[in-house]
Amino acid sequence: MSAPVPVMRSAAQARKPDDFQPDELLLTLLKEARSRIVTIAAIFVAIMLLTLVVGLLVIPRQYTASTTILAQDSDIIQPLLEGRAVPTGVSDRAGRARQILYSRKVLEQVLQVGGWNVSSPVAQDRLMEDIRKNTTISSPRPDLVQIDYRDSDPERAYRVTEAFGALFIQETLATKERESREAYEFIDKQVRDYHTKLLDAERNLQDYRSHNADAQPGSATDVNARITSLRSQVEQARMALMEQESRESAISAQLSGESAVTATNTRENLYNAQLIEARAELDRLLLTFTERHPDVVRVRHQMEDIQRALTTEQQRRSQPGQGAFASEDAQLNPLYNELRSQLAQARREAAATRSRMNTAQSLLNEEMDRSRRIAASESALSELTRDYEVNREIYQDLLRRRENARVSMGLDQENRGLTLRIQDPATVPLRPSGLRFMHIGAIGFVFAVGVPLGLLFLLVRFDPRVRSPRQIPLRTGYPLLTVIPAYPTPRERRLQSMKLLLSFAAIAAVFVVYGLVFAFKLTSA
Amino acid sequence: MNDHDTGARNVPSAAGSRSISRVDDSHALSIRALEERRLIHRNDSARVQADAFRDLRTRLLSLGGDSNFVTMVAPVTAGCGGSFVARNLAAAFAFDETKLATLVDCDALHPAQGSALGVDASAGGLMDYIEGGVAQLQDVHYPTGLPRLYLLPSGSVREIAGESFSSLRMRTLVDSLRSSSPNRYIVLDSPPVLRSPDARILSDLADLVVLVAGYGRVTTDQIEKAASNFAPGKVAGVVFNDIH
Repeated sequence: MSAPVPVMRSAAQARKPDDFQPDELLLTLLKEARSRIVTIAAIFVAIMLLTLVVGLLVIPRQYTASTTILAQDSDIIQPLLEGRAVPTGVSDRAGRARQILYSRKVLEQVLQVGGWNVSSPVAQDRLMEDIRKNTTISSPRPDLVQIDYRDSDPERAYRVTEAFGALFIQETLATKERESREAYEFIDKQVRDYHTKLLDAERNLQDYRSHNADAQPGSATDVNARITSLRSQVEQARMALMEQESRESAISAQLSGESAVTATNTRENLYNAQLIEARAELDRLLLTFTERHPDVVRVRHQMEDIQRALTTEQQRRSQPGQGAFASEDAQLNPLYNELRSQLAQARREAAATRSRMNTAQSLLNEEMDRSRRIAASESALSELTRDYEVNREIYQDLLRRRENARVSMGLDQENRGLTLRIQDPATVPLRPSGLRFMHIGAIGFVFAVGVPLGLLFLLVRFDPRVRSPRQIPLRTGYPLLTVIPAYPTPRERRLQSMKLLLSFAAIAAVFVVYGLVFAFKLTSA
Repeated sequence: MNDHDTGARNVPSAAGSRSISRVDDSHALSIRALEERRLIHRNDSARVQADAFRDLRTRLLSLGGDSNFVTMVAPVTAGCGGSFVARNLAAAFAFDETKLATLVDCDALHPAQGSALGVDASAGGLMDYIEGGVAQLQDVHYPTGLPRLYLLPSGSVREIAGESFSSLRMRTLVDSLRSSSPNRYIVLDSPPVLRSPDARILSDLADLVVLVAGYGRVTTDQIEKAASNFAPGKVAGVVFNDIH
């Protein structure tokens, strides 16, 4: 006996992941299906019969009635009144329809129409909830509202849907009208409020004006104009005054230069003349004689006397209250008189101008005071004026809006803003809707086929027991000597045939039953 | 010893040679009977199965070498069809007219070969022989309905046979069987490997170990575990029994 070939194993080979070739998988599935055909058929039949029962008996027939309502903004009036009336827009029609139709008020009426008799508020609530659940409200187009209601009684479905349609129209119109009326009333109230406010503001302004006489509109500008003119007057007066004063001073200067008498031989002049003679004589004498000559001495003594007398005269003249022309031998100077009268005139004019200037100045001061007062009261005045003006603006605006609201209200009262019309009235549904028996049958069939095959697949895929001879050398490393095919005994062969026959017969029977049921339904429906 | 036994009643014995075949009547089984017992035959109706077993036989012959060898057929777990493979392998050996095959039913807990081959094991079986109840080997070496195929049935039911298998008497039994004829191939039908250590003990007596894995019965981990019970090098390989 020779040693057999040593078995070789490698770790990698032993740990190969589970891999089923697709054809192997299919073959294995078929093998398993054949050996378990009875179970598969049994599951199939069971599910199909269950579906039949469910489809026939358990699921109630549902009927759906539907109505469509056209909700259209009036297309003639709208552009005519553009800007005048504001149409109460209904943008999300389905949402608003839901709000209206699911309200308690509407649902109570629907309950009456539907003929349900409710025992208690709790039952009523539940019933309302059920109705809500069975109702579908949608907006297939922007101006359409569709109401669908599902019920097991076709008559009731029809009645309820019809009631829904009518109530929707009724409630929507009522809502619109109420909306516009409320808007109008609100604006009206606002108008009144603002009217009162406006009157108040007016009164305040009036009071203020009457208390402050300066606070006239435009008084500031007046004052400013006056101030300007007064200022210019003052300036002019001042200039004139200056001119006249200078004239006056010029004239008086001239006057002082002139003497009141022309040839006034005053004692002073006499003395001066004597003094000059004496001096002239003294000089002549000194030419021929010396100082000690008696003539020279005599003349010097004469000069000293004259000088003394002159000084006395000058002192006498310089004392006040001495009429300079009192005892003189004077002749009135005509130029002097002229000058004097001119001076008097100039002085007069100057005085007049001065007084004018002073008046103007005092007026100016007055105006300045007033302008200051005005400025002080300006802020208060502007506040009040602003108040008044704003109120007036708002009030006028509100008046306009109120008129718009009035027109809108009129529109809605006559239902001209929005047209609500039943486009598609409800009818009694003839055929049940929703899941038809055929659908249920189809779903059942899918399950009936899927479940056993699925289980089979799961078994083959996830059962670790080896089903493919290829896996043995792959995963264990031991050689596969041979594959022994199945060797069924004659009895087993017979049994297997019978099983197959039985299974197919059962499946065929199920189909026959379904066929009968369909035929029955078709003929009876 | 006669090499061309066909279940005949008279065994000519030469001087010095031992005969271990019972002098008894056995009828050849009909095709139908064979099919009912799941035994291969030469007809076309079992062609695929017969070819598979022939294939197995050929491989074992190539592994076993020139002289006759002892093959142990061990199912990994119960239900893998180990008995089926064992008896059909023995039948495949017996197809060849130059060879003899003896099937030894070592599954003491569930002996199946006796009834499968239609052998009336009234004189006792393996267990009886080992325990000394039966003196002669040929008393328990029964011919079957198949030519050149002999059966050593298990005998009385025993729970634990491991000790018997490791006894000297068992070893001598196998040796005598082997040496009785150079063309006699021994096939041991062992109990499932993972059930008890009997298979391990038996493998000491065998030259080749063939594991049987049934379709959808064992995982590859179990196969590995079973194979690791035996001495490395004795495991010839795994047979996949496609019993769906």
